[in-house]
Amino acid sequence: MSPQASGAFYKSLFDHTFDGIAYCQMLFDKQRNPVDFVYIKTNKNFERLTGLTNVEGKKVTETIPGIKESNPELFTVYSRVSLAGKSERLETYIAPLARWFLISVYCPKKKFFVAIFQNITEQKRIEKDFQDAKRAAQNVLEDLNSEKIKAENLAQDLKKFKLALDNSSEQVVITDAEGTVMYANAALEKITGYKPEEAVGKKSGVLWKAPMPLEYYQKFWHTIKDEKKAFVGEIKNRRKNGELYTSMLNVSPVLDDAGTILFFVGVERDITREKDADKAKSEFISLASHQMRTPLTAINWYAEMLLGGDAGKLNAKQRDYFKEIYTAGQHMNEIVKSFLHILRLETGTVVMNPIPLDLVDVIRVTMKESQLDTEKKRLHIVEHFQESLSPLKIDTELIHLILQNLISNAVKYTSENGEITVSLGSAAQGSIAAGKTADEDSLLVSVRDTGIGITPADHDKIFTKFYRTENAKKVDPNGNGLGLYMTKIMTDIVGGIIWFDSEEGAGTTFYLLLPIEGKKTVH
Amino acid sequence: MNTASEKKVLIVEDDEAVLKALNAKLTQAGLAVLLARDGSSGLATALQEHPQLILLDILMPLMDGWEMLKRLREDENWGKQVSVVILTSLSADEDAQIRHIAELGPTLFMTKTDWKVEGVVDKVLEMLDVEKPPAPAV
Repeated sequence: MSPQASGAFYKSLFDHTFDGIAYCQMLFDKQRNPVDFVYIKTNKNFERLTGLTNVEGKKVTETIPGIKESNPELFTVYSRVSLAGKSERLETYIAPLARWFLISVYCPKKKFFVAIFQNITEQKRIEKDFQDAKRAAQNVLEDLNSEKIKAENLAQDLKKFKLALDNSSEQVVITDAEGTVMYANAALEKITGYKPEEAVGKKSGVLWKAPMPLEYYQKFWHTIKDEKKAFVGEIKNRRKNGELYTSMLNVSPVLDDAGTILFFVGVERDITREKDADKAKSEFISLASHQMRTPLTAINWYAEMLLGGDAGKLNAKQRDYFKEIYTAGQHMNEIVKSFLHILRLETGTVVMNPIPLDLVDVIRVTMKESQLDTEKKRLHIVEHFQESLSPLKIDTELIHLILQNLISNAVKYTSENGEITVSLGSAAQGSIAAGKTADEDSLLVSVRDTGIGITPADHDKIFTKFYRTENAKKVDPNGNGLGLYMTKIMTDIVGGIIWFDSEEGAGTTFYLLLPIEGKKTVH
Repeated sequence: MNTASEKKVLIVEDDEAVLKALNAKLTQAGLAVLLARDGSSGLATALQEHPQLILLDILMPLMDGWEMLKRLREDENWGKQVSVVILTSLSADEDAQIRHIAELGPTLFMTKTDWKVEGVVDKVLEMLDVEKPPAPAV
């Protein structure tokens, strides 16, 4: 090849290579520190790759302002190559151009260098994306790992819970929304005689043929399926061997976020023995109370006969002493009567005969029974009876006893010249009666007195068995603390609600909300 | 009205003190009083003496009051319709008593502690249609 041809060849090579090529002279200051470089010659692709035009003869600090600050390493490398003559390669990001370059530098003669470079911004972006993806993947992996640890912990927890559940003395059964058993613990066998594996997959209702009334089941399903609330109640069930047992049942629905029932969790405790013990206790109290009545009859009758002169005339002191015996005997008689009454109320063996009656009549009859005492204390009686009220379906004996307790208490704990107000009105379903919402059409009775009142500290205990407030003890030291307890139980039995407002020293109002149609739920 | 002395009353009661009190009060009222301390001898005395009225306790040894009443009511000629007053420590509102009352039909059911002894005497005289003698001077 001739020198011209050779020159043209290299020129063409220089211009057509895909790399950018810049032939530059390095400039140094007096301390031989590189300060700048001048583009002497650049190829065609230089322009395309850098976006810079007409650079030949210009200093880099002019063509790319800020490059000294952004890329001091370029100056270091270029000057080193231009002085030492050893080729180098570097990758660098030129911030003012916002491009990545892969640069090879060699020294054609001292203080000069040639930079051959490629724009690698795209590769860098791909590489960065890849790195990002890798990092993201790593994060996911780490997350997965921590999820795995969490899941393992959860599994450990579940294992613990399952162990606790498996060995619980209370029977635990989990069913799906249709009542098909999914899980049952070991207590199932102890209580029902069925092995858990016998129960799983079967409908709970098929396994336990509980001899309960239809209303019980209606209430049960209504509570857990419609109201989606926990059902708590006693249930009589039959063991595999046919034996009856009583258990305390608690069934709760488990809902998803949308409120759809996923499972039912049923926990049952066999309370047959407790019930038996309770029954034995009740029978003992009943027997003891009846036994006490025989000597009590003798005491009362002989005291009565002596006071009646059957054994001859008594002197004043004898009469006084026998009167004490007689009064004490009567008092004891009342206590025994209360015991027996409470037993019947608590054991639910009260015979109920609800009939529609006019409550005004019952109130009037009851108030008449206290007439002697109200007159003796000169109490002012006020009656507020709403007219033409619906008849109330209730057991006559029970409502009479309830009113008797409330009215006689009002009379007992109100001092002379006080006032007792008895009110009766209707409370339609959903209306608010003295602060309580009536669940169904009801009647509201209130008995207000201007008596000693109930201290706030006593408010929670006022319906408790044998509880007597200090100020009540002062008024009547002989009270037995059973009256309001019995009143509360009797109110429960007739399906009513009882509550009160009271201010110490100012008086008390007892309220009684009674459903017109009587008690609905079965117990 | 009848005179008290024509009337025989049988008391069947195992508690000595109660028996003694009733005996004293009814004798004082002028009635002829027969006593039995358990259901078994009460039944025998009743069938033999045919009293006009029987005061009958329930909880007693050998034979309880309900069993005695049951056997008494089996006697077609006399026992079926004789006046029987149950006088007991039990209450009439207990399930078991309610069943017995419905089944055996005593003339009256009295819980001892609900009554004064004078009240029991009044009730017996009323049922026998006998006028009450004046109370003794005290």
